[in-house]
Amino acid sequence: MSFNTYTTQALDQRPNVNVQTAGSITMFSVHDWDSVVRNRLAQIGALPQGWDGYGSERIGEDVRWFALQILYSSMTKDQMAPSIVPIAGGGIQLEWHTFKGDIELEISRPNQTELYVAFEDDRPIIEMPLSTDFSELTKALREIA
Amino acid sequence: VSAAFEIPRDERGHPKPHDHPNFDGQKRVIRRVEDNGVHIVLAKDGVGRRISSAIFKNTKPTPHDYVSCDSENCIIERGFEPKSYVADNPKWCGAIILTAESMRLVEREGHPLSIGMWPLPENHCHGAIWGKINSSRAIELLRNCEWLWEAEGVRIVE
Repeated sequence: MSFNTYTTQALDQRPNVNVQTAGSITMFSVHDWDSVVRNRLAQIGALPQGWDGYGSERIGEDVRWFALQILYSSMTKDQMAPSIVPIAGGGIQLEWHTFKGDIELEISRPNQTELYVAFEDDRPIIEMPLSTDFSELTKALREIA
Repeated sequence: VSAAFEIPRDERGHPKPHDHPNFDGQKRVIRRVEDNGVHIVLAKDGVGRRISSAIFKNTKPTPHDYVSCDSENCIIERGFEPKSYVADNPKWCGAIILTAESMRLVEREGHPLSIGMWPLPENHCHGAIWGKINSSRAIELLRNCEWLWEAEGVRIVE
């Protein structure tokens, strides 16, 4: 999936469905975490202006939609849903914390994100900006989530 | 000393990034904690709860965008008790506190922090933290924090 050409399809449209064809049978599967993530993004989208008590702006649909696209491209259907929190200034953070490590993806705006990965072993912390290639996130999710 | 300090302001009257005497050395910075999934996320065990590093972040770090805080020194100087002062609204479920000195430990070359005052009509002790705080810096800040007002069942860090 290209993140250079993301669209602003409404978040409340039907869940993302994977279509696979086996002979004459077409199979559909919805990600296990789909509804959890969509509900959470909708809650964050409903936060009013000043949601943090100090005038922070609302979390735009472009940011929420971009977050969803990243998850669809980076996660398998059975991985754990991230915790999703708003950030002052209009961003979103996706977080996974397990006994294998921690992953945080800060999304400031579409195509402007920063990845943080800390493994439980003694490997060095990864902290890097990501814009269109989220393979580092995919790799970290495979180990941690 | 803090009362005599004049807050630098821009042409709109908004405070410019500055370091205020209310945040010198061992004087402490308070950050209020909000529940409802705003500042709190699932812990490693998938059951417990912890504070998100997002509590110290602002994704638009311009002179007019900052992370809000409260000055313990200002609150005490005005004759209030800090915990009661920050627990003034049910939207908050706790508050963490750390010294300005320990906050400055996360400063890096080219990434300074300014910790100043941004008084509001409803909160004269409202402060502002300017500067980019990424995840590793925010987590380091959380490690330096203690509870001023403990959020029930929430860990600051793991």
